[in-house]
Amino acid sequence: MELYVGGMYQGKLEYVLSRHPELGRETVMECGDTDPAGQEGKRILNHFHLLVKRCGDEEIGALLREREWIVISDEVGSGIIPAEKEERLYRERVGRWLCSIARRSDRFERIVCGIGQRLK
Amino acid sequence: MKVLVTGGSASGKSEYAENLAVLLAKKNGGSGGLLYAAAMKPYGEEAAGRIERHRKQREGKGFRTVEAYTDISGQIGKYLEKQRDGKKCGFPTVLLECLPNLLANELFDTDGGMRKNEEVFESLCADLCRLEDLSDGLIVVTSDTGSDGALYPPETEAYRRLLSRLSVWFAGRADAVIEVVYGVPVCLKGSSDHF
Repeated sequence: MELYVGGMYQGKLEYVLSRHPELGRETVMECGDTDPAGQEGKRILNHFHLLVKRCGDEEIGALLREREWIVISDEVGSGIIPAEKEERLYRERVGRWLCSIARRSDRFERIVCGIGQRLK
Repeated sequence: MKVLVTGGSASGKSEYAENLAVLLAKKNGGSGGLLYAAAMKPYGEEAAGRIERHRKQREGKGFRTVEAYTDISGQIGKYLEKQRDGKKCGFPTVLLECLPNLLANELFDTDGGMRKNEEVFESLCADLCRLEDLSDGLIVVTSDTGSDGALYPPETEAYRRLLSRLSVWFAGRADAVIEVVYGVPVCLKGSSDHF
């Protein structure tokens, strides 16, 4: 597995695609508006944080076990703790999932202005 | 040795800081032991759950926990005096978890009022200096609260301005500053070679 994180609009997907010329755009699964079921041929999970927003932990775990994913996610935990309980839980779950994915990844990078900084 | 550990929420910074404290205590020879200065008040179900999760996470690592919501050096000092009971004993390695909670406790009254910002800043700096004197190895956990691009009510902005100032101040004194990114430490100051 590979993990790429960073702030929004930092060129994360372009960076990943340029690192993996063998993977075309048709291999990208957009987590914000696609159902995880029936996504054969997909290799890249783009906007993983939105998957955490839409799906339960069990469903996410099952999807991650399916194949060797390349995961791309926004970092969402660096601000004031949200007033709404649901938002707090969401941030917490994104953090915990990304810790777990980082642990399992052979490659982990953070993208700033389209430039990757390898953390693992 | 003073270390500042920072990171976003749920970034794995607490677990990293605990393991670092264990390592530093071992290096110090261990005669003063390992103290966990817990600043989080068990307000409500969520805080209680978080405290319980942290407690489980550090179980078996050899920490003695001192709950200190305010005046942290005073409380740790009292605890050490009682422990020593006149006997000579080494200085402990102290893990302060965490600066955001400590600041919230010192800055806001229970009725929601806010103390004078400058006074709180000065008194917390002095408090942390005394804590340094009481310890052989101090690890402070803080949090990045300034990167969500939002503007909040004046009290919240005052809080995060103060938290950032305190973090910058302690980072200046620290031998090492580590940012934890989803469980992976990134060394921002000093060298992680010595731990």
